[in-house]
Amino acid sequence: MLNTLLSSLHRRAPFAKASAHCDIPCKIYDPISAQLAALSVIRFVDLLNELSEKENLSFSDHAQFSRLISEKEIHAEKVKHETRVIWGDYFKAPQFEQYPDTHKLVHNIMLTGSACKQHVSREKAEALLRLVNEFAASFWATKGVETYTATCPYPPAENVVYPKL
Amino acid sequence: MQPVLFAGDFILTCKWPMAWLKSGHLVVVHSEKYGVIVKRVIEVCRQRGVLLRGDNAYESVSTKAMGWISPNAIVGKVIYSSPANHLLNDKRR
Repeated sequence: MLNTLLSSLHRRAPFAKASAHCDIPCKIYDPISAQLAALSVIRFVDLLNELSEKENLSFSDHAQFSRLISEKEIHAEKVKHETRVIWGDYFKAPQFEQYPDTHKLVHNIMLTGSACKQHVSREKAEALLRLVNEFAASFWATKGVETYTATCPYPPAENVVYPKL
Repeated sequence: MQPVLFAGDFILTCKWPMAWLKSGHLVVVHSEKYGVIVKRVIEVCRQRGVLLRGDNAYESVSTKAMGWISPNAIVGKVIYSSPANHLLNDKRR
């Protein structure tokens, strides 16, 4: 009863808010999911480009084409989602103080992720991976974990930032 | 601040003299780093202010990260919180 009254009052004249910085206790954050999704986008672009070199597309090629486009979009969206989760849930004032350009970097990832959905462009897919690697490097640095860059041992064999654990 | 406070709960605060603040009290403070937050007092020092911690220890910002909160930054002591949302949250689980 009182809560209903308070809710009604709050809707008309919002009360001041106090945060508790308490979330569901999970704390499992790792940018590798975003990095793998970005690598997948590059891989799908490569496979689409291979398909485009064929003179005539068979029925199964058309099916494959449709599937590759769909997966490219799903993985580009996954990059955006995974990045948003770390940015929104893990990064707090101390991390933003350490890396004040994080907002700009995350925004660039959002834009480049969308560009990867709109186009079949290896250049854009590589740019997405570069940005996600940069985000991963700053994420691990906020945890005091050193990183190194290595070529992933599978296609598309691109450079990935890994934590030195 | 779970399990005492849940997101969306209403709390009522009251200006409270430093001398009356005790360990265990819930307070709303204005932290430079974290904005307006509600936490539990674990230590009171008239000169330095208060040390705080969150009830949800696994996820709350640590006492060390918050540091000493100066007496001027204390908005008030929580003197009432709405229990209705607790019931709602219990149902949702």
